[in-house]
Amino acid sequence: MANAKTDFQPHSWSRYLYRFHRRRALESNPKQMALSQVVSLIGTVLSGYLFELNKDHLVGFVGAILVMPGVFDLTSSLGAAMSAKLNHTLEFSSDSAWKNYWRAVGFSLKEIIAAGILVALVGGGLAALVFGTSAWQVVWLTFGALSLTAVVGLPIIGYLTIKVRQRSINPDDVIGPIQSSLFEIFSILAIVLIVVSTT
Amino acid sequence: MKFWHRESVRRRSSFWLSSLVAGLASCISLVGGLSLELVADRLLPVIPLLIATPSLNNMVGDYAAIIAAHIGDPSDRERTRRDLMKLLSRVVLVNIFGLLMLSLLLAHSRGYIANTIFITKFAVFVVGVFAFMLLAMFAISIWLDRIVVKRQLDPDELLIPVVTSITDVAVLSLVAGGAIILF
Repeated sequence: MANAKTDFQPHSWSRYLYRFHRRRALESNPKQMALSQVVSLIGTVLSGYLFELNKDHLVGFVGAILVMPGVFDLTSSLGAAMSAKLNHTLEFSSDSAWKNYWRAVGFSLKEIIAAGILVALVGGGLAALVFGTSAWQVVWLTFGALSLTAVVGLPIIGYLTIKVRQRSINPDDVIGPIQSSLFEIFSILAIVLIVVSTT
Repeated sequence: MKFWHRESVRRRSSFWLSSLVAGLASCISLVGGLSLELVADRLLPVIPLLIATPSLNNMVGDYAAIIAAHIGDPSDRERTRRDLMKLLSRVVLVNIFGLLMLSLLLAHSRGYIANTIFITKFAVFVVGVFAFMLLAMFAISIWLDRIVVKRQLDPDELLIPVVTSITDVAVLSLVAGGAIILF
């Protein structure tokens, strides 16, 4: 019989994301919150710098800038939800941490791919409608960037969640700013890589 | 056998619903991306603003979480609001100062020469975006919280995704507008 406490349940991602952020916001003191904001700020400014460094490539591919916020948003929110769910599961699960890790990463990858199809189609449609560019080119760019970012980012965040937990630190306090910066950086790099390889 | 079949169907529909909600929330962010793409030729030369854009986009999620976490506790509203003000004031100050310094320094390293008038306009613009972001989030969170309580809905499903998506689009549109009007 399925064990509700140990199985990696396909609950709504936003429930875990909400509780993850709510717990961080309510239990962190102002100094801790300010420190996590500094980490997040440095990471996101770095992603802005990467954006600036590669703007000539991006401006040549109509739709690349359009899809960027969608790619950031989806990978970052599902990455945070995965970390929160994994942390929660590890508290109750009788399975090994690494078994739960692969289950969590696999499940979140499937979620990103499923949600990514929708985001890619909408992005491609918008680009074709407004700019008259090829919808399929933008669809492939979006889906490719989401998949690449997820394949690289999710295992790293899952790994960090387990390692931080093993050092008796609550991952909810540490992973948040790291994951948002990492996914922003990976998203930009993935988009640039796909744009450069197709032009 | 029936139990396993029902359980399997429930999990599949929960997975697809969850993915649909996540996808729709991200699709709303695409509208913000559209406004940036429309003004790309005006935005890209303004290097400090370009560098600051992902940070401004990212902060929306962080502030939505802080505000949503504190807004809905009716049993202790005064303490909750005091805690919220204390948290936000430090966080906002750190972010404004840090963002201005880092964007201008990195832009300078890329050969961008910012005069006093530009730095003043940029600083006022960033402060304005932060003020707008916070006001919009408060207003949307309070409004949504009332609806959620009235209809006995689960805030876990609604508050952060909706507040983040709406404010995300608004902030990116502000950045696009700023690129045309101010710089």
